[in-house]
Amino acid sequence: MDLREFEIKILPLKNNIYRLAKALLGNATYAEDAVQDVYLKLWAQREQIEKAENVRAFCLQLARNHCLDQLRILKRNDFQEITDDNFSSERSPYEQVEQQDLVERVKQLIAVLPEQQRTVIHLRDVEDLEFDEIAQITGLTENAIKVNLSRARQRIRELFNGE
Amino acid sequence: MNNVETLLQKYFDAETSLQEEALLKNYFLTNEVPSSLEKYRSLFVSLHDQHNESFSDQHFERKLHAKLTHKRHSLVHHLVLWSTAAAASLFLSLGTIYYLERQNNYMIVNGQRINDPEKALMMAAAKLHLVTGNFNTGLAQVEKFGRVGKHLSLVSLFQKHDTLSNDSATINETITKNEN
Repeated sequence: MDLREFEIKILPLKNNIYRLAKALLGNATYAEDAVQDVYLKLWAQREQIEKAENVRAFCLQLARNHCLDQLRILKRNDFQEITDDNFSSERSPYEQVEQQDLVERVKQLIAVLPEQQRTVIHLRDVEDLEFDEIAQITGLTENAIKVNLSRARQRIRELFNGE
Repeated sequence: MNNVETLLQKYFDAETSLQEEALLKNYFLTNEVPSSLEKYRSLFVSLHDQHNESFSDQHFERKLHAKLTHKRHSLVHHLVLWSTAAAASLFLSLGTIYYLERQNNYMIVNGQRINDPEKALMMAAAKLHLVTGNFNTGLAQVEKFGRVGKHLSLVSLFQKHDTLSNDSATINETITKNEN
C-alpha cells in the first residue's frame, strides 16, 4: 500500500477514529493528539491493513488499543472535560436550555461508564456498527457486547427516570 | 406509539437491530413526541450530536502527508547515515586491533616470548634487582680502589714535600756558599 492508496482508503476514517478517541480519552485535545499517533501507527502497519478483512474494524481496533495505552499512561479515570457541542433545534430557547442540559448529562454519563460499556455504546449508538464489527474491534463476544450495551443503556434510562 | 414504547424496551435490553435503532432515532429527532417519552429525546439528540462530531483540524491531511513523506525520506537518510557510521566504526575498530596487534609488547627471556605484562614486569624487576645487586658489589670494589687512591695521593704529597725540603736545603747551601 503506497501513500496515495493509504490516504484514499484510511484518511476518510479520521472522524470515526477521532470520535472513538474522544469517547475513550474524554478530552478533545487528547483525542486530536491520539488521531495523529494512530495514523502514524496505521502507516507503519499498512501491510497488515491490506490483509485485514474489515479495514475500518482494523483501524478502530488499533485506535482503541492506542487510547487504552494512553489511558494507562495518563491514569485518567475521571472524564470531566467534555467539549462544547453544537446544538441546534427548532424548539423554544427555554426548551433548548432544558434539553441541552439533559443532552450534556447523557454525554457525561456515557463518559463515566466503565470502559467496555463506554466503548460498546459508542460503537453501537454513535457509530452505528453491527455487533460482529464491534466484536472485531473490542475482542469481546457478541453476547458480552449485548450485556455491556444493555447495562450502559439501562444506566441512561435510570438517569431519565430519576428526573 | 405502542410500537415506539415496545421498540424502546427492546432498545434498552440491547435486542434491537440497527434498522430498528435507526427508526427510533429518526422518530425522536423529527417528530413531536408524547410527553411521557419526551425525556428520551435528549438521549437520541445526544447520540446524534456525537455522531455528527468531526475532527476539526483542517490541515490534518496536509500535515500527515508532510510527516509521512518526510518520514520516508528521513528513513532513507538515516539508513545512509547509519551505514556510514557503522562502516567508519568498523574500520576504526579493525584498525585499532591491527595496530595493537602490531604494537603488542612482549619480552624475550632466555629465548622465550612473554606476553603477559604482569609476568614480564616481575621478570624485569628480578633482572633489575640482579643488576643493581651486581652494580652495588662492583661499586664497593671501586670504592676500595678509591680509598687506595686516596692513600696513594697522600704518599705522593709527602714525597713532594720531601723534594721541596731537599730543594730548600740545596738553596740554603748555595746561599751560604755565596756569602762565604
